[in-house]
Amino acid sequence: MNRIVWIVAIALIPALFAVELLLGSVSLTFSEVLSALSNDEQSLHHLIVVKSRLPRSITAMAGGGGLALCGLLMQTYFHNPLAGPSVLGVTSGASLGVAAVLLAGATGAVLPAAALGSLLVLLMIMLVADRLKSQVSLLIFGLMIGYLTSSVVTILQQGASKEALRSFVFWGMGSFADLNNGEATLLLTMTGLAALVAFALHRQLDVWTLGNDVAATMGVSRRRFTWQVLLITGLVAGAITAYCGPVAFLGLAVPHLARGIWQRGNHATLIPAVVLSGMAIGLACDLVSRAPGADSGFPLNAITSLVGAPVVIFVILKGRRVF
Amino acid sequence: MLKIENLQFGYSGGLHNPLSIEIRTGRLVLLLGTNGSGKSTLLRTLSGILPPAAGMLKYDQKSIHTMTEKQRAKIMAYVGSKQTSFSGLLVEEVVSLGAWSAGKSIDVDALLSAHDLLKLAKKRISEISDGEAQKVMLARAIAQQTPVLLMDEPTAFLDHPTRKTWWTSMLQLVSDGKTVIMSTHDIAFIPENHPAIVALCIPASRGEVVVLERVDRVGVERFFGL
Repeated sequence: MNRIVWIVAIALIPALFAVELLLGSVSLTFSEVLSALSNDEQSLHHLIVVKSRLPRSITAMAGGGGLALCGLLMQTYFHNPLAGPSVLGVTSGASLGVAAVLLAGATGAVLPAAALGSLLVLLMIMLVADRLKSQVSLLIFGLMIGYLTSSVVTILQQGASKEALRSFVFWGMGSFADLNNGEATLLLTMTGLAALVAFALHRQLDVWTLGNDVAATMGVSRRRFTWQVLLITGLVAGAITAYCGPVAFLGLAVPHLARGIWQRGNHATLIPAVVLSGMAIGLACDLVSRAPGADSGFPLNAITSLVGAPVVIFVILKGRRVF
Repeated sequence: MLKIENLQFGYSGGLHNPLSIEIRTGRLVLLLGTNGSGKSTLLRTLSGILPPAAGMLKYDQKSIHTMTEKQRAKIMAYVGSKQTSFSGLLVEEVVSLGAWSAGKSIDVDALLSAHDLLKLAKKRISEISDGEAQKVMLARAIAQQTPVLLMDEPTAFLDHPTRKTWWTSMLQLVSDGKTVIMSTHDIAFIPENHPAIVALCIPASRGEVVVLERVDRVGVERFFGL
């Protein structure tokens, strides 16, 4: 049973990837895609496949897998099933960084600004997490961070040029389409490395689920563990947000889907499971948002919310047995 | 041997007088006191979770609070009073983590069956009852194979018969050479005048922690003012 789940998850990714390359406003055959990939002439097919669909598909995998990993780490760290980069304001922090540089016209500094923004918000939440007695207060705190950053962003927009404003608004809808092959590969490499580092911590993560006090007496240094989770989550969520915009719900929803499918709660299983399903769901959401065959697609966030919001409702209704 | 030297615990403004006591190996130390007297705080201080306000706790001449978490996990295991509903781990995974945390290996099935938990091995710790989870957390702490075991009201979620066997197994652990420190409200279960049992009575009004070398009901009830 378990082996079948792994095989399906692993097989689903190349399958969806292939569909991403095949379908679109111009549908191609399998051999057309292959020849477009192998020759580097400036043919139309080559442009479509190699310059547009390929980086977009790689980005969708990296974005989906990376955000899902961040969501898992945050849910474990905060002992909160509703934690995730978009809910706790981490993507808002990144947005503020991006807004500051984009609206000032400094497009080159988007990546470090986003990473800095998300790291700062995470640091803030980790510092106050002990004072927030209930799970709901943590979420409200994250929500308020979101409101604060979005009001600062609105104020920043007043002085911005029309062109800068336009690119910021489009960025805010979320998209896996704006990267070239080099950037997409960088993002995928980053997600892969983050997953490896997180996997090396799988037992510490397991111990952490037993409670902070118990973890402190089971060999887990709270300070070091906090920094490790902070850096992985902040850097990955920050980089993805810089490149793809504030993508909603994937980080929150995918870990729950993986828990439901794999029926396990240990991180040696959950980390690969969450990354693989995040990649597949990222590809699937991107595919739907492109609306193959139609003239124009939908904003990515409309699709990810369609997937994510029902999962949140399900988690709330399920009560305490979510982990 | 554990040595508490001029230890003050808690938060500034509400400290007890400095506490000094030597706890020999193979003792069962009971922390008694009303709610809010500071039993949990003392336990969390002794287990290294909280830093002491003053003084120190030494194990074999080494201060517990200057050790790394890894070193401490080989010396003392801790069972808290909070529940673990945020974990999706299986019972057998939780128990084997105990051995991992102290860098040791253990026969998980043997340990589970010794604690009458084998039938729960493949269940998630979040889906068993609070009392069962408490037994799992004890088995996990035993799997750490430490000379010292600290527990915060471990019997709080247990039914009457299980409580009785719990006390029997505590005395067994102590006679096997473990030092057990636990807070409890189970006055009725304390074996009277047991040579291995010591009680630290913690007054809610702060002040001096009273050490009872011989524990009997009369002495305990006198402390509680009954």
